[in-house]
Amino acid sequence: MHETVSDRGSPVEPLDTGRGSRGAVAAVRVVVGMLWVANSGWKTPPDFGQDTGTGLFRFTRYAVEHPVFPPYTWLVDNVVLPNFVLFGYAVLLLEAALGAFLLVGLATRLWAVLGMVQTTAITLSVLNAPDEFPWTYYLMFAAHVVLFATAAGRTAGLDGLLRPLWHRSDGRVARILMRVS
Amino acid sequence: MTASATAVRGGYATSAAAAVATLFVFAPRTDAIRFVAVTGPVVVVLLVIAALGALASRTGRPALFAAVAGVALAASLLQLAQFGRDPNWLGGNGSTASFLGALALAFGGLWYAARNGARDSAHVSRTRRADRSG
Repeated sequence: MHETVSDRGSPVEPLDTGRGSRGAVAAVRVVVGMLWVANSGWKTPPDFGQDTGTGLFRFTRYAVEHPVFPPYTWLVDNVVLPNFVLFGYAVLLLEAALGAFLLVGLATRLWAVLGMVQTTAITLSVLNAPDEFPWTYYLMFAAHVVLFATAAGRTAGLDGLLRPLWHRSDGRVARILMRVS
Repeated sequence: MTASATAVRGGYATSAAAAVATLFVFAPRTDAIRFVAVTGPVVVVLLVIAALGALASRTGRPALFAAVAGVALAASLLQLAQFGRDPNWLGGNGSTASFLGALALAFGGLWYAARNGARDSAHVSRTRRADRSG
């Protein structure tokens, strides 16, 4: 029905854009948003677990104690841990914002990319740590790829509501938002 | 000025989400489904946001959407500033700040949609009147 032809001449089936599929993509976006919302809850200032060796500090130290990627280990050991409180606030703000923006579907493609970056940082910290399930992080990354590829904020999200308004606007911010949504 | 129909529907949905989130107050602290830390004061804030959001949606006034966004943003920033410290007036944590921030974004977006939808409606009305008189 909607069959198209690729450059090579072979038929290409388009992705399903039916109501059920769009609803499922929106649901995945909300779940991924809630993942970040919920995990903002245990990054506790003002020391983020540095004094007791718990919380965010403990998981960040895994990058040194159970190295995954030597350059990242060096970065954590020499840059992140000596400035840990600053790093803790950056993580808290980033993850709280990831949760908020993905939950409502605003600038979704940008935040999906930032989600991939943060997932990569977490993976490089904890992948070799004891009792970790590596597929957790592979699936987290894949979920953000799906949000990016499907522009998931356009269904039941603010991107879908606001893109027609941004499209009509001549403003620079509106043009940027069109690109990152 | 009135909001577009889509903004109104979004307003009701967001208000309902704020009201439903109060149920997290019953989730035990260690429960795996306690996605958002909701305490007594947070319940009050969420119910205020839900009620104002529903009123904004019913009246379709962009200024009311902006007011709800302002309340949610103020609560989110307060929670972010006091989380892990004493006093912590709302008693929540980073998840509370993030969720309240999401509500602020949602009502802020609805304000933008309602304001521009209303402007477009007004422009169409003026154009039609001009066409009829011209």
